[in-house]
Amino acid sequence: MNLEQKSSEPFILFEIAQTSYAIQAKLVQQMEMISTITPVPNAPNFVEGVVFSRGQVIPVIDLRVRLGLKKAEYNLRTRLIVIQTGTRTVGVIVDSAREFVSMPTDAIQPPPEAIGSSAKYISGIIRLGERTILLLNVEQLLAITCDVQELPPVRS
Amino acid sequence: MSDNEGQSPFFDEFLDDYFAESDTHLTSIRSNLLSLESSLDCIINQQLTSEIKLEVKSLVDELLRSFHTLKGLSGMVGIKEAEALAHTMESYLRAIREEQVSLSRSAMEAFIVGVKVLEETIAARRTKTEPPDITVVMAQIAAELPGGGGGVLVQRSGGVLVQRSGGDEEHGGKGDEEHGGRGDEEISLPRTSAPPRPSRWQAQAHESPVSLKPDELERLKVAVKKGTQAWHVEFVPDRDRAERGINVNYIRSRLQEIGDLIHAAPRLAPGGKTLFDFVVATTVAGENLFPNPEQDGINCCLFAIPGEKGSCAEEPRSREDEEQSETQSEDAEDFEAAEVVLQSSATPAAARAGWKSAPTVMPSNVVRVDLARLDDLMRMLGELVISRARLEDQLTRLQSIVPAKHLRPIRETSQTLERQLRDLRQGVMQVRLVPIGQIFSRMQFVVRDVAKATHKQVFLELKGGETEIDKYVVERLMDPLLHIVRNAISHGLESESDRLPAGKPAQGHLALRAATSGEMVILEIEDDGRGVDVDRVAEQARKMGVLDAETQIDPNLLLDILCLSGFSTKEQADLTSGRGVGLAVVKNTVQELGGILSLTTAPGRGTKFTIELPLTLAIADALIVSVGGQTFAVPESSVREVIEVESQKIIALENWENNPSHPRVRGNQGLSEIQRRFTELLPFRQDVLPLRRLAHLFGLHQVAQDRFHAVIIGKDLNTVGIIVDRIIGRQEIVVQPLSDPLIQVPGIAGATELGDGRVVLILDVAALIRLSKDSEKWRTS
Repeated sequence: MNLEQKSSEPFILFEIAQTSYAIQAKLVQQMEMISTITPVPNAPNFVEGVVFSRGQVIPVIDLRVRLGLKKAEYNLRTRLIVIQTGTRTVGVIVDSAREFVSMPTDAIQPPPEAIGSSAKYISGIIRLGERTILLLNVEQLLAITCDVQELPPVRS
Repeated sequence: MSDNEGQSPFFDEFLDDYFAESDTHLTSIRSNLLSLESSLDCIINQQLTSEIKLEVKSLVDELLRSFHTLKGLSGMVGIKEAEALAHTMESYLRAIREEQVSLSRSAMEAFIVGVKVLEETIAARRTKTEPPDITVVMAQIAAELPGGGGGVLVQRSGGVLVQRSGGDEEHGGKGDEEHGGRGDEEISLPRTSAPPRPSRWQAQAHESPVSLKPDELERLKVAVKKGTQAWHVEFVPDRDRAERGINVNYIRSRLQEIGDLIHAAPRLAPGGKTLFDFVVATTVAGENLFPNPEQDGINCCLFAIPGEKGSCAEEPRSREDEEQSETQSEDAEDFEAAEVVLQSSATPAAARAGWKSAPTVMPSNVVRVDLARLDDLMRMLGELVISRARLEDQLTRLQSIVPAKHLRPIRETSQTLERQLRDLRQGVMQVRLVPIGQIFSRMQFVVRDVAKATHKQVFLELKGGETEIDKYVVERLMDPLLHIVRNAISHGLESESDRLPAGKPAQGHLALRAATSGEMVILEIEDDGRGVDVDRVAEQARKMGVLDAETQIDPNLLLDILCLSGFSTKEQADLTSGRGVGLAVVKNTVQELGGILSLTTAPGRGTKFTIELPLTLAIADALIVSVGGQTFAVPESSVREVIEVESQKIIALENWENNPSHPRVRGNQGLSEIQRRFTELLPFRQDVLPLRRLAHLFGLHQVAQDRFHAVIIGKDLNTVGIIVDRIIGRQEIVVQPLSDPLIQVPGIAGATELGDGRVVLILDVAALIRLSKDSEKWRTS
């Protein structure tokens, strides 16, 4: 896979529950180990809290929770991937993240039907040798359901 | 639309300056026009005392100056429509000043419309949309000029449409100056000490359209003293040349290579083309500056250094000369006015014949600063504050290792640093503050318009215009305030025929007041109109199902109801005397600024809106509290008091309700509607303080304690005590916004760092006050 074709792009690979995922390297601002995360009360359940990243306060999403998996304990391999897309900067907690590969974009196939409820967070599949890698749909990942803050009906 | 799209990048700088400048001038124009209008009756009825005459004269002079400058500036950036409009209005004002025509009501009307259209034209350029049609209003104003409607629309040589009225031949040379001869000169050079020639002013060397800023002039003089020569290089760009790489940036860099580039600016030339003027000081001879001047559209000639500015303010010798020097002075003045400079010893405006003392528009020691730069300053200051907090933190940790006598001097230095940073913080915040009077003067115009449109007479009381408020807040408040004011006049104030029988004066009274109170700014908008019919609102709310039968409406509830979507439609306007329309947006804006909107109303007597806003946005003093094991920061400015609460003294409402003979009940005259909503109350001074536990709101573990601390927030009917586990201390914090929607939760206003790198959330006090009224959210975990 070292052919530098015009249509290949660099990706960062990470793992959640022994499954490999990929995200475009251009979206990744930095990767770091987990430091103290401050919980935010009444935030969506997949939002672990907030941390400082480059002087900015950013939300941190636990990707396991977001994908509907059970939360895991953080250890030395757990990583925080800081993603920047458009105007939003968000941190994502993953089990581990070590690889940085270039993959040809035309090798990306649409996700199969069988993935299940977290299908909307996957935008494609790539086969890298023996491995199957799931391409993360960052937009969906960061989306929040539109919750208009209206005053509830008043009753005494 | 103007034809300056796609010119070089540094042209945009001029545009930004232009928008800022024109804003200032328009503000001054508006206020002067209003003053003039108030004297209109006297003018029309010829009841002019010498006092009024003088005042009118000075108003006209100031207006002339503003329009003249606007005209020049607009011409320079190529907004032809604005230039033409400003020119027409200037001509009319000149005619007034020369007493060729007397101010009439129709002219006043046309003028006011003209100013609006002018504003719209400039705004259109800013937003890059279609400018409004100026022909109608131009014709209206021109019709007022001597020579009247018989004027002819001619194409001026500069590509600007003006109406040359038939009968101004007596202006002679001046007329030509205005229309013909000045076609290619928008801004003139301050002339040298040579006496002015009768019909047009000229420089020594040749007519130079280039005018230098004072600092540029200085640089030029210094450069020339060193033995270089000053050249004026004129460049006309076109597509062919651009394709060959001969463009403004090329010229610029070339000139920078071979000498000292003193000046570079665009200029609107005859025919509507834009060309560029450069002034460079170099030892290279003009002919050798560029290889192919002809082909490349370059024209070089010697540049005459203008004389001292003071030479403009010559005493006029004859009436004609007086007109000349006045024109020169005006131009020199508008040249000055077009600058953003710190003038050392100002050329006294009073020295100019016939003008009143220093223009109110441009005080000579004012600097205009981009708000973005102030934001940067604040950010840097914030970083300093955090660094110092870290220092303090680290010093504390050293306590156990380093003997106190060594640690003490370092600690003292750290504390001095804190004091100095605090002072610096104050200083920077002061720079961001502007008087709220800025908004007030806009209001005058709006009030006038709406009053006219609704055929009502309104007396506008303005108080506290000097109250200072953060510039950012001022910008965002403009729309909400406009909205409230418009509503007050169109719906709140009754028509004359309704007011008189009610015993009210025919003229409606609208008051705008501003004052500071501690670290808050309080704004009031009050009218003496018909007020909100609370009963009808309640009825409607019950019909809509948002209010149940028993609940009475208090002012807070009223505001909340009015902000509901059912009340924001125009159809409901009568019901609520228009208050509901868009009120939700107003409330949101105020909340976003960390403020509180409230209203009080009395049917038949009037309505008062109150907006309370925190003065400081970026760095604040905060109380650090602990709740359920987590640390939070509470802005001190919003805290009224901190008290210690004994658990046993708290009254749980269930107990109370079931036990009417409870001693506390007998002592109080019963509880207010609001107090009834709370499940926990504390007897406090002569009253009862409703309590809320922050742990409940945030779903945190509530520690069982004998004693708690309660932070008292809100006031009057809104007072509530927020229970926390304990107060840890006070600290200066830098407020970081929580911008991502995922972490925007009610009750949290932002985040900060206390010195150890961990995020600490900042409580949104205004939100807590609002939320405290809703029992649902404070359920026991």
